Amino acid sequence: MRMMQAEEGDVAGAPPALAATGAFEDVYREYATAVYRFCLSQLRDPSRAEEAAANALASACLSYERVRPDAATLRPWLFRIARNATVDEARRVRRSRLLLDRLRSRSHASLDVEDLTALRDDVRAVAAATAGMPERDRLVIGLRVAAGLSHAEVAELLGMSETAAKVAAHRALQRLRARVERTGERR
Amino acid sequence: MNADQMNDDELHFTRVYATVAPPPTLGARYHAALDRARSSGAHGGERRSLRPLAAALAVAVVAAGGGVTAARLGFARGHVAGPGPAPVRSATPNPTPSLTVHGPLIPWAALPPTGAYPQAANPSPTAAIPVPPGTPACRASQLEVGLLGFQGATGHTDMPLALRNRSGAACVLNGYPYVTVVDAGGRALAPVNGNEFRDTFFDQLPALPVLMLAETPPLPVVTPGPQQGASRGQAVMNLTWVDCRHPQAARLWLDLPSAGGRLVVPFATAATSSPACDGNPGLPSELARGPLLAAGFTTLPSPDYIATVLTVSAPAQVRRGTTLVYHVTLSNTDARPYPLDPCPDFNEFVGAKQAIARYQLNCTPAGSLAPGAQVTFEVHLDFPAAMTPGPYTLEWALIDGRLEKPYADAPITVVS
Repeated sequence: MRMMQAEEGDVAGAPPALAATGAFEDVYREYATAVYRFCLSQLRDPSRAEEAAANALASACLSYERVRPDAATLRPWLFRIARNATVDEARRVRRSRLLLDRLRSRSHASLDVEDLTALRDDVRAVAAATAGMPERDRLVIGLRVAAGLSHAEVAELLGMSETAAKVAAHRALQRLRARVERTGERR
Repeated sequence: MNADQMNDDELHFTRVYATVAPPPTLGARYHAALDRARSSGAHGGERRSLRPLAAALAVAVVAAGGGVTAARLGFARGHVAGPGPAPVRSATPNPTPSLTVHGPLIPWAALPPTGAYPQAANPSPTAAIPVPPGTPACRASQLEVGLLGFQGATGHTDMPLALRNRSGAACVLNGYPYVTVVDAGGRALAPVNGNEFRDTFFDQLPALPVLMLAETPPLPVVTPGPQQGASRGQAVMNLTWVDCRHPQAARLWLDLPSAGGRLVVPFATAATSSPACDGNPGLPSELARGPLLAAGFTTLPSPDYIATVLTVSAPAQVRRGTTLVYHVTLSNTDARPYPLDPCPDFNEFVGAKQAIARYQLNCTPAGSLAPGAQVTFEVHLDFPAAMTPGPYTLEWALIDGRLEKPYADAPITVVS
């Protein structure tokens, strides 16, 4: 599909017209790391986070042509997709583990600890401490400190006021700090 | 990073995550996911969840500034927010060749968008087996408990329990029991009470009433190894116990909800480890339990989307600076009616960076669309005189999260 190109001088400040995937590649280059960090903050497992990030970025690429988010809406849009991808990934893992993977033996060797231990100690500690927190706390933490969204963007994404987002982030991070300190893992 | 003022906690944890780099294989997995999604694009399966999302996102984008960009692009817009109409060479619509009409043809009306976004019903999970009114809460004396084995996932270990009604009368369980792990001397090693540590990594369902049927099959024999399944009419509960010191337990105390009394369960096992124990053997013991769940009922119901088919019938060409008249046919392929009250909004795109226009659908004349019924809407769209001639895709998206596939498109060539 050819992208529309307005004639010279018509579209002040608009990004250059690129092939559909090419246009998204800029988004990919700028935000792939943040998407991955966010997914890691929600899923804790680097391999699952990578899968969710890849799926989120692919979904975003496919709908980018249709949605064409502008600078103000790009990040909430992208991380809404990332959030859905992490939910899908968590459900997929749980479903497969619960319903299909009945053959695991009673052994610690069955635990998938290799990926998690590959992370830096402080990241691992934060991921472990975040794991048991309520979903809203995990989301706010992931969006705010892992993805780097502003309070306004977090507010838009979670459907709350900016003030409420600030309060939610403050409290969630306080709880995270307490959990990390309780387990003695804050570096 | 964002420009907000950050406090110490935010700075600290932001710096922690700033050390994380995506694996080098992310790009390859992204392209593989893209290929999978594209190859499955014509099918309902994998993309099902993406479709309503596309409409939802369209709402957000348009609400956030689509009108402004449409103005920049020089499109005349009916009720899209933004400055006044851009130059359009002629108010006379393009001569319309024969356009497809299925069902009644609803004339064009440039209605202002409402900004609404109807959502698909997200059915609440219900009890796996309906609980007859008046069913009493289960007492400990009616029940027996067994272990179902172990399962592990991403650093978590589950030691699920199964509960069986061994009395002759049905009863109901609902909620979270209090659980205490005790050693051979009766010393509590790990308690979990009240609202603390509800739900484990393995739970995905909320607490629901579980009808405990009488005379269900015996519980599985507990053996080390693969997890065993419980039977219909029985209950299961996930349990995780992490203690880096691996203390040896002897029993579990299970205090039932509704003051149902205590069950004592043989639990001759050691606490499991966790990735968090690595280098931190002094982590406190942590015991978590999920809700009591009906055995065999383990999935959340999907949103209840309405199956419809949208098709766009448009002339092959449109002259820039004129108004395109085209048709959108909506077919209800579901077994239920599709209520068009209130009328949803729709977006139109022509390969632009933003939605070109947004209106409310003129569906009041159509009313509720019966199963199998079709209706065709006439739609007008102004093309700016400044538009570069060439082939494009005309896309039309209904802003309605109730639909499984809320959009359609058609090729269009802009000529001078």
